[in-house]
Amino acid sequence: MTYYSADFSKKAQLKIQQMAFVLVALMIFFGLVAVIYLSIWSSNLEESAAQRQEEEALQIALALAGSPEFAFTSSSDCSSCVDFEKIVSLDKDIYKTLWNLDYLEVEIVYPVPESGETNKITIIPRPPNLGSTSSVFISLVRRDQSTRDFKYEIGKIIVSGGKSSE
Amino acid sequence: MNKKSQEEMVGFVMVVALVAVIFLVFLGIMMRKPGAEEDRTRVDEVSLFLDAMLEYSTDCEVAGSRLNFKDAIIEAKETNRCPGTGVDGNLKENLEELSKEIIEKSWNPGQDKPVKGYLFEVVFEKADDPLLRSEEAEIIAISAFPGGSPDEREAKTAEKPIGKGIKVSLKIYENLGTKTTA
Repeated sequence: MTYYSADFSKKAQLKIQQMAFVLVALMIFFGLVAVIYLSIWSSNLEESAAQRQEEEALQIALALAGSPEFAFTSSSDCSSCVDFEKIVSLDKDIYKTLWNLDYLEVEIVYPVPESGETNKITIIPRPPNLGSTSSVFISLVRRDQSTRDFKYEIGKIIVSGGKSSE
Repeated sequence: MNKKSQEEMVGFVMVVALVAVIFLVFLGIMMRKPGAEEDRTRVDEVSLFLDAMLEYSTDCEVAGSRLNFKDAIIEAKETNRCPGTGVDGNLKENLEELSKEIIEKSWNPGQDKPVKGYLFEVVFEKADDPLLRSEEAEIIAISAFPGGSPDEREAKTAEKPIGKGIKVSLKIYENLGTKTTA
């Protein structure tokens, strides 16, 4: 039968205790790190989701400005020009589902239309409880009634959305 | 025994310090990313606006066609007269007024608005020698800061050369924490 001396047994116990303390301290440290990281991450989550949605909408607005349904094609040197007449005569019911957006509107920014005239063309109406929207500046082109020449104005495409991103 | 435990403690502290440093570096990288994306988006917006502004049809006419803003700036450098309007006015002054009106209607700057101010410049270089340009350039500059004094760190700039020796630039000052929404 083997007997261990009391001194040796105490030493081993101390070693085990030391290891246990180190493991507990490490667990607490990594736990704290995880808690700090998760709290920062969760606070940024909502903001970054909204930001991502805005960026996506911005890209959609840019793509729309260059799409055949919007683009002004009579002039070859203007890539961001949008044809006003095309937007007005657009069959809005068809395009509601095509672009997969929650809200789409074209606004005349400058010159400000005279009182009584509308400065907005709604393609997809604004639903209730709509979140943030994004807009890009465009050149709106239409025929000048007096000179019959093309007149370039400043407008905005305002979008919100992509239902697919929800 | 005492010395050995001290060594172990030092080792443990070093491991903790190393992990903490790695964690801080990681956290720093994670928190910097969204700001850079926001900056890029805003710069694109200002650049798109400047494109649209340069296409805007002014009242000046040549052979029955309206001059766009870009051509009117070139005309301002060459003759400083607005053809076709019958008004023998100062085209540079007219363009200053028009620019101010367009920018303010489009960006709507204000103290309690996301956009705090703007600076629009048209630079007409007088000399062909690039070394003399900054000394001899004529600058049309319009600005307004209804939201207080501007902070260059929060300015988003777009700059475009529009002809020989002419360039336009626009700076939009805003709080980066807020974003313009319609």
